[in-house]
Amino acid sequence: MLHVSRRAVCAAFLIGSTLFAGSGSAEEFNLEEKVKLCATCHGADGVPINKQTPVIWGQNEGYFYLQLRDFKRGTRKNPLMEPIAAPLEKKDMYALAAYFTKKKWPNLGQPPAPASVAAKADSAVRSVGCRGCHLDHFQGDGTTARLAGQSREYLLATMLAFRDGSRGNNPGMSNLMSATPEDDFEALAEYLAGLQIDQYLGHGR
Amino acid sequence: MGPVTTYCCGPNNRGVAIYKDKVYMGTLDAKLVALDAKTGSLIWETEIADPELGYSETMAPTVVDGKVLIGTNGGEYGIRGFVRAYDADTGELVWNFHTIPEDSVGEWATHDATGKDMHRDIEAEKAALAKLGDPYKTLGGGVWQNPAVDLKTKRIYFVVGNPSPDLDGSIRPGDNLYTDSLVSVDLNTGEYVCHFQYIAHDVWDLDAVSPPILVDVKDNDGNTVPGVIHGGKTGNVYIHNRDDCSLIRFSEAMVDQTGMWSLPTPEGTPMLPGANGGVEWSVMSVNPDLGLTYAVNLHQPMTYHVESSPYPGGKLWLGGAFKVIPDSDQFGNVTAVDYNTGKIKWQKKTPLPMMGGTLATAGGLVFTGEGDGWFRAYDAENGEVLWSFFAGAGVNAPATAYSVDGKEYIVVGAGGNTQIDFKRGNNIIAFTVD
Ligand code: HEC
Ligand code: HEC
Repeated sequence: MLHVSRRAVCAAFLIGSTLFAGSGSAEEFNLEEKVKLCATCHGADGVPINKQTPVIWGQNEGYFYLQLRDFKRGTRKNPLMEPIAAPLEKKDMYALAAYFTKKKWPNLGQPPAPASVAAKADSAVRSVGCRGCHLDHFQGDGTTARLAGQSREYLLATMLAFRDGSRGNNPGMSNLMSATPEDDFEALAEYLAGLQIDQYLGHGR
Repeated sequence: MGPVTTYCCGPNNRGVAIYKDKVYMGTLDAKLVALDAKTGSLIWETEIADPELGYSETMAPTVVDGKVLIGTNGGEYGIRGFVRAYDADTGELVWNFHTIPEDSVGEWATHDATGKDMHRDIEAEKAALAKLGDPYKTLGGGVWQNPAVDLKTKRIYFVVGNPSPDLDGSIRPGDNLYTDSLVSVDLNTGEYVCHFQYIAHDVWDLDAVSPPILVDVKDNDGNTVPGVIHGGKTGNVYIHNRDDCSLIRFSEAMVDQTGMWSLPTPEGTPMLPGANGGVEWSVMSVNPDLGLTYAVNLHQPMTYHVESSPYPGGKLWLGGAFKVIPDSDQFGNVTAVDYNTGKIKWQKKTPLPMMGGTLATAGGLVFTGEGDGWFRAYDAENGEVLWSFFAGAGVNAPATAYSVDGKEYIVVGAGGNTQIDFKRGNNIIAFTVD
């Protein structure tokens, strides 16, 4: 089911994105224009246009850069993002990462997980030690992603993609997802999506 | 610092070194920096290695004889480990020692340093070697902690961490030299002197990460010889002859080793100790008058899972996963080991697994902290708790002692721990000894 709906979304945007990517490739990198392009999917106010598209405002800089690099290399596959990353040079990726990491992470209005779901998620989290890498409030750091407040549907899809290998740009994460029982993922996604962590980050970055 | 940092187990830094008028520090993006000790301004900066390939620095440099010694992290990313010396004045590279030699195969050891069968499938490994070649280029072998320096012989002693990928041995045939080993090299040239491997072809990440200590020990004929001791993640203390790195003895197990060495499986195999070891990065200390060394331990039952994947070019490369067994009992120990006999002299249980380290003082005390915020002093001879202080956050760093104008101080950091998620804090607390 998930994959079917994802493909449908992809097809709808493919035309738009190839047009944009095509017009930019030969010319100088222009941060402002690129940011406008990103906004067509990731949102002009940081709230993505649909639930399959992740929040990128306030994401960690190293992680952000590596994803663009991986989309360009093709080690992370996505028909929407690959053509967007293709014309970017390393310095352009750094510039985009530096720009977006400073934006305030948007509130998608996802409710905190109910206690029973949170308990199930917490048990999975403790077992694999997610916080050992994603840190105490799931804020991540460096090349490790922030997960707190990310779109629930996106989180679920990307965890399952790590698990079945269709997201192949981090075998370590794939291993951890394979070692996690299948019926924990819904709970994990709901729990992570519902975390509001601005208060811990001080000023919401 | 640059945006790309690829380290293991949470952002952390294990300290700086001060030498003459400079302060030296490694950074998470694998740089070595020298700062003016008075002003903090940057004097030089060297990129040690490329963080996009999984290199990072969390260890404190050691500065001696005009050289800054530093290793690298990255055993979870498929690096090729090293220890290096940089010129303290200029930051130029003086020498480089690869912790993974081009011939990493070794002698196909079937048993570990304590004589336990590691259940290696040597035939399968030999077939893999013929097919894949020597895996040395991506074999890991990070060095997490400071070398011990013997100023008399101008040799340094350090321990080398796990092979990459951690749990999947199928694509890295051989003993994986010098992973999971004590290694000695020449301080002036970086040339190899000797090594001793604890676990050949490790598939449990029960490597060697606690810094070695130089101390005189009794050999098996009862003679006192220069020794070097190390607390392994296996939960044994290893006592070596400093001359040739040979093992004189190993201690009784400080932790439960039930199931050692069961091979990891796709479904997960339970084994003790868990992958955080019997002794993690925690530093040991010694009381030479009593002939005791003090280690802190973890008891965390885990299952070991294997899943094969090819080298991912600088991304996390674990070859599987370790999972804490839900609802299992977890705790820690403070253990005193007689390094002249290998016997445990005393052991005290703590409510949480221990990560940090010990400080032994000449006055007969042992200081160590716990993840729930307690910092305690034990009687070095019998382990009685003599004093406790509540620091409010995990005391997961070793304490140190110093004196100013004859007054003695004990200082410790209470910053908590990311790896096993102990309460974070931001305090450095100093105590006076009256
Ligand atoms: C046509 C829609 C679209 C446009 C335009 C677009 N993105 Fe994306 N982006 C996506 C989708 C969908 C994903 C999720 C891909 C997946 O599921 O693997 C994504 C993922 C990402 C990610 C990975 C986020 C994460 O949490 O892993 C980054 C970074 C990113 N985009 C940056 C950008 C930047 C920068 C731009 C502008 C230069 C941009 N995107 C333009 C649709 C788009
Ligand atoms: C050993 C460190 C480590 C552990 C433990 C870990 N992760 Fe990750 N995780 C990472 C890294 C590094 C990435 C970035 C992956 C990449 O390079 O694309 C990541 C990425 C992710 C992503 C993708 C984020 C995005 O925006 O696309 C999710 C979701 C995730 N992790 C969930 C989890 C969960 C849930 C757990 C525990 C069950 C966990 N992780 C445990 C290191 C870890």
